[in-house]
Amino acid sequence: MPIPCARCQMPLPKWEFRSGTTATCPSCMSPNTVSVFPALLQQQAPALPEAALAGEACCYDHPTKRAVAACSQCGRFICQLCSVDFAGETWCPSCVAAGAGRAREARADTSRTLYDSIVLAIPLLSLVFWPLLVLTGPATVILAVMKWKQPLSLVRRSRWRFLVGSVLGILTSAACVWLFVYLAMSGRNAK
Amino acid sequence: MKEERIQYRKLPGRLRGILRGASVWQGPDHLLLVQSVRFREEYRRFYFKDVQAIAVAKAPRFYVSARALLPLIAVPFLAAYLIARPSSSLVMILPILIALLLGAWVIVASQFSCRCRIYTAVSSEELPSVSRSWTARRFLARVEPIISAAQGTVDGDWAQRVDDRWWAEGRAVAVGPSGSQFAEALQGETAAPVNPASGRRMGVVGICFAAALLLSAAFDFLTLNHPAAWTRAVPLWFAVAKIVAASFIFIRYDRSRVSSRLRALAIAALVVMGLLFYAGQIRTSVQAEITKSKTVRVDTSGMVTAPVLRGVEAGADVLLGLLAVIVVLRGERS
Repeated sequence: MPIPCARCQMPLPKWEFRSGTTATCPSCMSPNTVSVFPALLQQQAPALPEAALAGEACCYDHPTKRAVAACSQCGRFICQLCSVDFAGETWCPSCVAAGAGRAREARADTSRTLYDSIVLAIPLLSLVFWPLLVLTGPATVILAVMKWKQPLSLVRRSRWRFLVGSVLGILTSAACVWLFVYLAMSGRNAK
Repeated sequence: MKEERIQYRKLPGRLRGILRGASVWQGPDHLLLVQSVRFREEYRRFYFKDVQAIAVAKAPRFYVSARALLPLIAVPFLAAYLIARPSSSLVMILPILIALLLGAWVIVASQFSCRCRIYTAVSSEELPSVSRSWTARRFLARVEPIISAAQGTVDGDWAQRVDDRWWAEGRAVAVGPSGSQFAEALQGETAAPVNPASGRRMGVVGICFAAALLLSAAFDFLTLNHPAAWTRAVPLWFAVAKIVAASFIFIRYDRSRVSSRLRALAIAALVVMGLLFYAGQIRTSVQAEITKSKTVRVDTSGMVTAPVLRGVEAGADVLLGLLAVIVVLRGERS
């Protein structure tokens, strides 16, 4: 498999790599520096299930194929094609797909919503368009309380955004209440 | 359920766009590519044992970091200072400084920038955070030893060995993008992408949003030159209605109940409101300066009161309202 250019994705000429790790893309003329690792040279043996003979145990999903193992989770017989190596055990695809047992815990997050950043951003953005503070102050506090236990970013561990956002929300709410009371009192005094 | 904690260490390079960001982190057995869009992060993992190659190509990258835009906050204050003191030496120095900074940015973006890609057997992913040549050098210096420790090193003419293996397996050498990309392209041709929200009902929220926009526009048009006090109070309630409807659209979009088009319209409506608010404030200041008025009447409601701006707002509301109606109707029909 040729290595594609990092800029245009066209294959880089292999003969240029004989003299080093750099190659110029013939399509976009960009010089590429390539670091290659042994995984590129590994051969993956294709998993081909064998046909089951009479009297042999066969796969639950493929009745004509010979079973090579039993699923560690549900106990079903599985063929070579269906066997999935999972944490040192052999599982069937159904158990992995259903997230049974430890598979649920091992399922990696692919995205997260950053509620702590939202809580911090709402009062700060509202300062720009200040009449909104009447609504956003209490909304920030409510959101912070509701989402406090939601998982944070995978790479950020501190909840300071929640705290700062909540404090700002409380302060702006208090300021709004004080302003309303002040205006009401001054209006009454004027009469 | 207690969250499994993995300690990540940040690797060189970080993309800080205005809305988008990216960074690469080192985990115990994998690299984690974090791509953020506003308040959402997406993660891609590349296990050390699976990484086949990392390629860095020289390429221009004309992106502007969000941090570089922070000094723009000072522009209004600087402009006010220069207007007040036109004989200041800053008048001469500032253009030269800006030209030098722009020149430096163009040189770095065109001559010292790159694109970095990481390849595994099944994926080819760009690392947006590695965008400058010096960052790429530091990134590779950190990553190469880690991957080599997990896999070992390649000796000799690897290109020839890869080629020999490929032919030995009786396959033709792929030309162009990788096989997986061809498969994706082929899949894209046969199966059109399906928007999960398109077949669902847009619900009351979309209709309320469109109604708020259209009613607000109608009110603005009817009372454009009406100086009565009550015509200033009513737009405030329309503004609150628009904000509340837009907020509900964001919530329902998060639950995949409304389409991204309706959300885009909600964002556009809020942006128009914000811009016109500022335009109104600037207009008041400029008018006060022109008339040399000692007492400037500040409208504390924050609403747009000038007939011209109200006309603009009404026009934008009509446009957005009609688009919202179309989006809602199309969503209902499908």
